[in-house]
Amino acid sequence: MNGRLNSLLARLLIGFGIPLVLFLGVALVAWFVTSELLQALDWERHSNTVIIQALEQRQRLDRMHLAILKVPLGQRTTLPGTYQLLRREFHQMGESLKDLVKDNSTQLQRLKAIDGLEEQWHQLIQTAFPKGSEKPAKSDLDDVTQVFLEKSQPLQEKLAKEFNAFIDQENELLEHRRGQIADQTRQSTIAIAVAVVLALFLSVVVMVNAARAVTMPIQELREAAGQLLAGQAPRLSPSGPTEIAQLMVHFNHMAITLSERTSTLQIQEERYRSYLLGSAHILWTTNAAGEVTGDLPAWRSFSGQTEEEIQGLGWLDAIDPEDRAEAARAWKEAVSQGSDFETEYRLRSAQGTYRHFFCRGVPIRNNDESVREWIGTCTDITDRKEEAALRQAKEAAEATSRAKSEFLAKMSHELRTPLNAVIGMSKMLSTRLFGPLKPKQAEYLADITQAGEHLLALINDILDLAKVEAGHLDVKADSFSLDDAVAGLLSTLRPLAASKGLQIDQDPAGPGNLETDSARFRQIFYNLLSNAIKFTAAKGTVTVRCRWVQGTDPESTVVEEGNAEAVRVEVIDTGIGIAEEHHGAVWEEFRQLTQDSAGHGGTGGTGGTGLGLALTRHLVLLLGGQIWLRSQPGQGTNVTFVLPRLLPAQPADLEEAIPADGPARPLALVIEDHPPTHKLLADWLSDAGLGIASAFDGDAGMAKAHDLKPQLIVLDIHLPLKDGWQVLAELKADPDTADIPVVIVTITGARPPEDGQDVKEFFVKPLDRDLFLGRLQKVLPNLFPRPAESTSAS
Amino acid sequence: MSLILLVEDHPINRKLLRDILQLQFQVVEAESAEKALDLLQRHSPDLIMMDMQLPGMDGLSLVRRLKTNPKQATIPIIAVSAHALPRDIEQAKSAGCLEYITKPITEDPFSFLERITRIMLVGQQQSGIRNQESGIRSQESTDPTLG
Repeated sequence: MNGRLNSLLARLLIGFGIPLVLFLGVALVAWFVTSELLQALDWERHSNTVIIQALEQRQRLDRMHLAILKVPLGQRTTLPGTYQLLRREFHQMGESLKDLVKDNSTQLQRLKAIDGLEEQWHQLIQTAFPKGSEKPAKSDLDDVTQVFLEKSQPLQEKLAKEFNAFIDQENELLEHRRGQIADQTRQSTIAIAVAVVLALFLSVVVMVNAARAVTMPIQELREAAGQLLAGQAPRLSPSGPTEIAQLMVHFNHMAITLSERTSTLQIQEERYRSYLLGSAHILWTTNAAGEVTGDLPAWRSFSGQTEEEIQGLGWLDAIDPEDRAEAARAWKEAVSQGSDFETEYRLRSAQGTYRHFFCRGVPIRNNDESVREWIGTCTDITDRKEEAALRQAKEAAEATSRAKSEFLAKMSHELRTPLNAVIGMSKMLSTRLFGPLKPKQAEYLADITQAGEHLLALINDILDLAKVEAGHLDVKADSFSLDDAVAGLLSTLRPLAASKGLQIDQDPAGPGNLETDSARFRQIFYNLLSNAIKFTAAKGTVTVRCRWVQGTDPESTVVEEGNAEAVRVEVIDTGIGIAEEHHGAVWEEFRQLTQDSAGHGGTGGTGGTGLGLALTRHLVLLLGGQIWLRSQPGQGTNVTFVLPRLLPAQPADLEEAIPADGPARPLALVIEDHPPTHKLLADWLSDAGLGIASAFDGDAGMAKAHDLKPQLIVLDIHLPLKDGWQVLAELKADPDTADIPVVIVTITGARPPEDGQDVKEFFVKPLDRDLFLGRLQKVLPNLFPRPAESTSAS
Repeated sequence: MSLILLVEDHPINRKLLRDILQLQFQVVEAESAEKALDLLQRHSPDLIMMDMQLPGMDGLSLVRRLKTNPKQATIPIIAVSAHALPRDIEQAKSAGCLEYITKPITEDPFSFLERITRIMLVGQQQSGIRNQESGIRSQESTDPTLG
């Protein structure tokens, strides 16, 4: 109800309707006043008629009197005709007059009185005119007239008096009515004027009110829209007509939505900006022609250029001169074609160093597809590039190292095979089973044997060295007595020393155990001692001094065994010594000390290989110790090494994985007894990025599955000791291994009765590499770090 | 006199080993795994001495194959190989070789023969125990008074 009244239409109807009603009222008043006036005018006319007729009646009486007097009385006997006609008129008019004033009793009374007086007068006249033939005497005639005149005079006066009274009365009435009319005219003029003024005033008030009700909210809306444009968030309280109030509600909605969107945009922009600031990105914009026109703070702060310097194409100056021409060309090409821009270049930093950047830009287009501006980023990819280079170098080094290990293993095998014949046959001949030997023959056979054994020692040292370098040499701690170990080794070398006329002294450390790799300890010690014996001339002395110490550096202090955290072993000889400038070379592979010492060839009895000290040093480091040399030419040599009592923790033992690079590879366990197939599977999986563990029978497979927890098991069915089905059943029965995916590789194609549920894939030999890897990658996509190369494995 | 099956593809080394072994044993030679399997049809050696790297079927496969055959599984096997990596040794032993000798052999022939004899004895003892065990088992399974 209220709402309907409040609507814009209702307001307009009220605004125009009320003035209309008011004007109608004014017209009604005017009509009423006018009709009153007309009535008054009627009355005036009526009064005038009455007065005129009254005057005519009086006149008529006079004319009747004259008609009578025209003929001398007594000469005629009949009443004059004129008199009779006038008298008839007089009565007729008298009746009409009476009719006119019938509402006014006074006047009517007067008219009746007049009628009475006239009747008296007429009686008098009739007496003056006797009927019949009686003719009055002449003398009498004058008398008659005299008598009549005497008698008629008062009557006529009375009649005149009555008429005058009547006319005066009527005149009075007329005057009164005229006054009335003048009053009414004045009153109605005032009434109409007042009504018109009132109507006008009310109309104006109502219309102004209606107009204000409409225009005020519109004005508010207009101002709010202005504020909105200025970026403020105006809030209107809905008022005014319903339609406009609704418009305001909608406007508020719109303003809220707009401000929300604006703030969302601001947040996004802020986030984007901080993302760009937080990352190594440089954000840039240029105009459609590819020229910088504004400020690029990120570019400036990186390159150290000023705002003026980067304007236009000035930013190109910060690019490395070697890359600049190409960058400029790529940029101009992108700008001219309106295509995405992508390039790499080195950018000079404010510090003058160059860093690699990857630069990307895209054109921002107008609605008509023309380019409005360019926006893009430059990303510092130096670290990524360096990392990639490092990774590449590392991979290359690893590949080299792997190739080297493989080469060495193969070489070792190839050398050992003929060496077996050389040594074995020499020894066979030396048994003299095939007949006696001449002294020279025996001597040569001994030389051949020795040379062969030297060669063998060389091969062994090379292999050890290769393993140490590749990190494949595993060490494991065991507990042994220091002095006993040293004494044992001394006793094995004493015959050799004795043969050279050398004395060996042991200066023991005192009881106490080492917890390190005993085999490697013996190897280190043996190498040092045999070296010392080798380079010490006859009658010399080799002393071995062991001490419990604190610290593994040269300045380690001797302590009680109970407090010792390391052992120091010195091998001191009285040999030829080594010049200072050669100390470094001692530790290098194949840099034999014999180069400086004549008389000690490669066949020097104990089989010095030139690798011994290098290997020894590696081994000492492997056990967490240090080794160093003190020597002067002619004053003997002291080689000292310090080992921690406890073997330091070793990196995880990766011996199992054939390509031993990086622990990140998922491990596949290949359980396959047929070596060529086994190797093939291992190669394929290794190429596909997996680490490989191997087992050649069912039991070993089970054990390795337990120990290694591989991410994949490739299982053959025909296996020694335990067949594949049994292995599978045991794997799945054990919660530790039940979740490891298993693929079956078999020659038979026979499937188990409970086929399928536990097996990821089922391959029947002969296998195809791409098919095998393809299906594996499909069923186990998470396992493969990179797609396998499609080249065929050898 | 005990019979030794010698499997070795390298002719000179085969000759050397044969000559040494013949000092004490009867020797049959094969230059490949296939030939060895063939010889095993006709001979029942007391010991097999074999190289691991062979043309065709390789040494490991031959060992596994022999170990799956009940008749041949008890014959002690000594691997003689120029592969000296721990992994090779472990593989051969897990496949069923009783001993792994790396080439070159540096002992004098008589020490070598002593070693072979010792290994042969150990192998015979082991297979004897195994035979006894299986004998007991078969008795158990056939004796109605048991179980």
